[in-house]
Amino acid sequence: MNGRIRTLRIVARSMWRRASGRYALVVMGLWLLVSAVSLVWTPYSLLATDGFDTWGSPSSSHLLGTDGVGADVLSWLMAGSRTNLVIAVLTVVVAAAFGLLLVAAMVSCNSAFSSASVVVVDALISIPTVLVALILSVPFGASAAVIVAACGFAYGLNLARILRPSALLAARSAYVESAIWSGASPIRVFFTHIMPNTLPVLSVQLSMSAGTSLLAEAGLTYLGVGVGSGVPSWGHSLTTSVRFISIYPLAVVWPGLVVTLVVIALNLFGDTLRDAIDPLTNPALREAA
Amino acid sequence: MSDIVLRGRGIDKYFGPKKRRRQVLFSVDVDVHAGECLAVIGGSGSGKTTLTRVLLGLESADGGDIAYQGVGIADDAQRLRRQSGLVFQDPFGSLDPRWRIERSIAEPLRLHHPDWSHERVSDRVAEVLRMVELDPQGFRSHFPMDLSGGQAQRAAIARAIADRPRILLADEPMSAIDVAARIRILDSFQRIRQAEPDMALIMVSHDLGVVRHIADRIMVLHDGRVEETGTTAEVLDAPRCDYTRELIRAASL
Repeated sequence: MNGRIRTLRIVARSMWRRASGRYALVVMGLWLLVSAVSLVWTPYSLLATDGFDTWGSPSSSHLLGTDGVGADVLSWLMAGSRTNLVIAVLTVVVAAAFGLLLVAAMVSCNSAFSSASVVVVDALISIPTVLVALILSVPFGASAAVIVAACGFAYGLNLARILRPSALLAARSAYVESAIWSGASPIRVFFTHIMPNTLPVLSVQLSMSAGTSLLAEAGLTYLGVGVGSGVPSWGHSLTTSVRFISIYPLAVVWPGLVVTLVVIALNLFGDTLRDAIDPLTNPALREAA
Repeated sequence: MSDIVLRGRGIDKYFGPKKRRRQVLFSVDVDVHAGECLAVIGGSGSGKTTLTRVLLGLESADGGDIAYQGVGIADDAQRLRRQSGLVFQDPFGSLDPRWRIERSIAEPLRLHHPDWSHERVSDRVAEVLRMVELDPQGFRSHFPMDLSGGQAQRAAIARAIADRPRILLADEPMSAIDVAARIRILDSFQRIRQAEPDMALIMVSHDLGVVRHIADRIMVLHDGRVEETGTTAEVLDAPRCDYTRELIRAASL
């Protein structure tokens, strides 16, 4: 356990040394903090509206202004960060589970099945995420779960396609043959040898999936198949104000800015994590005995 | 001669799809005795690697019988797997690049002996590292990329012998290693054989210098057929067939 904590500290320190890593860690830390704080406190109640103060500019009482019904934009963005955090985390979990399951099937089955599975995965990838979400929203209605299911499905397929070559390389290596020869079970081999050797690609893909899920949330909510109308989310804040962009641009700028900053942070997080977590590229990890 | 640990009779092996299948082993007979080093030599494509992989059950035979300690390997594959070790040609390919050397060497021990304490596993890792002349203090925490080719191969050998196998298969273990490092690997094999006198070593090689240095017996393979088998002196000093003479002549060039 001490070894794992030490490894985590080295990884975090290595990420912090890079400007892009610092940016990613600070923004993601703030995101987590704001989400946690919003559970117990927001400047105003989400239900608090003021018909005499609609589309208000930033002021001391409303730091980011008010929206079309006079609700506090900052409060809605704070509460929305929680929804988006849940969507991003669940999307990553679903995409990772689905994608890794596919990769495990691809590398453990014979070459004919593996080749056929590539064709099937390629065909499924061509189905737009929006279409999957629209189909799912018919029986289940608009909800965050639909976003997670659609994104998890699409990003899981993508993950499998991208991980397959490096997973196959590891699966056909002599060290895997040795492990199997020594009696390691296929599951053990997958999680101790094959998956760790795809970790650089995996970390980048999953962080990108998290970022893309935020963009998908905004898009799907705008189309009416995302989060419900009363649920705060950054996509919801964008949707309610985007029609008035030419008159009240600030109302769109704030949620748009938050989404952009967080998506950039997630992408940079993946890049810096890839370099920091891999002993082949991070000498500090190799030196730590 | 001592007990036979591995016996193969009439081994056939084919490669390729059914319609265009190509026979690569033709009714090969082979005995491997406890404690001996049997070298399998021959040119490229002669079937050396295929024969040894089939013998240990890494690949299935298409004909013939193979028995480990008198029991067919198909009936008790688990026991043969547990009691044999593999050394491959590419030293870096046989060690997980993202695992420390200690973890790689300890893997068979942890799989075979889940009840062993951390200290016991660690002690055995140190012991085998010393056997292959790698300082445990310095090397156990290294990653493969921090080692030279020779050091990585010795670490791979340490992994293969960690659980005291009865049979060690080394498939061209020195062909990817520079000449200076080969001596240390040969010394490691000698030390291991002294420490484990009952262990049979099957070495696939095309380097007759190495074979002369380490082998007790030699089997010469040519196009999937056994040309001759005999003691090292018999085969290298008084070869009975033209192909062996050709190999010896080519090696002396």
